[in-house]
Amino acid sequence: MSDTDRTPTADTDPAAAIARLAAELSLTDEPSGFVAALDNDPDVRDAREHSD
Amino acid sequence: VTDWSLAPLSRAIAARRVSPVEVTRECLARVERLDPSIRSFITVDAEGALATARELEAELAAGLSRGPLHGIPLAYKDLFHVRGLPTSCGTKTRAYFAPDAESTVVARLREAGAVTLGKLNMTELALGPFGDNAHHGDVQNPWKRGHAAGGSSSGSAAAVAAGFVVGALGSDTGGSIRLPAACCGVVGLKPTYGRVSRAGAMPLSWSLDHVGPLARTVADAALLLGAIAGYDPLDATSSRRGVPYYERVLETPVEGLRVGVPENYYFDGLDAEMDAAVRAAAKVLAELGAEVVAVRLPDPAPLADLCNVIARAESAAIHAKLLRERPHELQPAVRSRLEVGLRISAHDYLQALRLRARCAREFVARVFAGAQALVMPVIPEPAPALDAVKAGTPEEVVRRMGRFSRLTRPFNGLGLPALAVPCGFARDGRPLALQVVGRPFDEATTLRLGHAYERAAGWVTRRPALD
Repeated sequence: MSDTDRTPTADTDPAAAIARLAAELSLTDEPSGFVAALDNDPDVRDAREHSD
Repeated sequence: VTDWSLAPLSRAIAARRVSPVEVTRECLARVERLDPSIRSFITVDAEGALATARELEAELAAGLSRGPLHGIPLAYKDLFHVRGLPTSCGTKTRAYFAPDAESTVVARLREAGAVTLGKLNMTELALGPFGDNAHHGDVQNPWKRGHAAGGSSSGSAAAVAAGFVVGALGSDTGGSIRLPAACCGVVGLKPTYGRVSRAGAMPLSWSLDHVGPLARTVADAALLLGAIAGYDPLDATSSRRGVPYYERVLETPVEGLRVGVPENYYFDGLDAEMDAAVRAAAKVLAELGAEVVAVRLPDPAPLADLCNVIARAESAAIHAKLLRERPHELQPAVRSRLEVGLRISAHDYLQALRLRARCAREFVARVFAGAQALVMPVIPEPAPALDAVKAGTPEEVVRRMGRFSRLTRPFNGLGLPALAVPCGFARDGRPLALQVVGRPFDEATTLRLGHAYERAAGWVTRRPALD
């Protein structure tokens, strides 16, 4: 199947897709890690900005 | 006046060469004359708009100016709650969404002096990338009637392209600002997750929803972003990070910026004209001094699976009452997408949220170690024919939706800023578009690249022939 034709599988079998991917998770992975990932990019974290 | 973009119109109003009332009247007249064939508005608030314009005109006469948005006509996707107006969210129900307070972004624009012309058409519940709507009419592409305006912020993009308003707001859960912007040949920005408050905007997926501007130029989008961005105590996901003066950084040369062009996934199976236009745009950036390099991105397929689980579970929870009590009112493909969410377990939903955090962390660390921004297409082909995208079973329509939004959805999952900028036209006149993706909270560089390209390429002066 090409990338073009590939439809995400989760619409039809979400449990299988998630189970396969979740094998990579460690005990410390938590949902809030997403916001931390955005906020901790070092190159933009210290950019000179002002608060409005 | 309706041919101008925001920045020159703002200067003309400030210099008293044209008044807010004149501008508002001209825009309303154009909407009345031309929108019956475009279907971009659900509600036109002529009386309210003129009353606001008169107040703003009186302020100017008294020597008071609220800044660059003073007297500027805008309109909002019909999922933003605007004081005194119904919010249908594209459903059959006239006032489907009725929160206690006006949406934060609309309130901020009102304070900044914007005139609200009305509420804009959209895909039902923001669930679909083509802009068709069985209740309020299919939004027509101003460049080619019978073709999709893109969705779900279909009316927002079409109204800007048609010159009904100089700017609009949209929301983007899987591409719903960038897809219609690309189809209609206007600029659309999905900011970083948390950059712009979503309070008072209909939620579709708390984890993936973003609010952002659509406008004719990148500079206009920057101006609108500056007005709506920043911390909001009414949105728990809103970031406390400071907001730069975006318009001031636009003129900084792009020389030396390292810009990645994906060598996997994003150009696979692309329409030939789209492919050539996006690659030509990357070349323009290189000629302007950017260091354009090929990059290999993490496979977006796992991320797409996770985002589907998250989006479906959250949207089914949010709209459960409508789905349970009045499912017959929903368009078949919209109903089909919502119902999937009812079958997702709490376990799978939580695992998807955990995996998403990991994907974002790895993407930012790996990809942005070698590039400050990425460029790629927004849509795989120019705006498709409406009849073609609506044909077939709900399952076929849903699969088609997934294919059309496959280049934008990854950046909702990753929460990164992503900008759609026009980059030419197909032989038959349909717009082509470039997507610029930046680092988290670095809308400034994203806009700077888009602005530099836009000015060098010159497509921005073209307008669809509507009269």
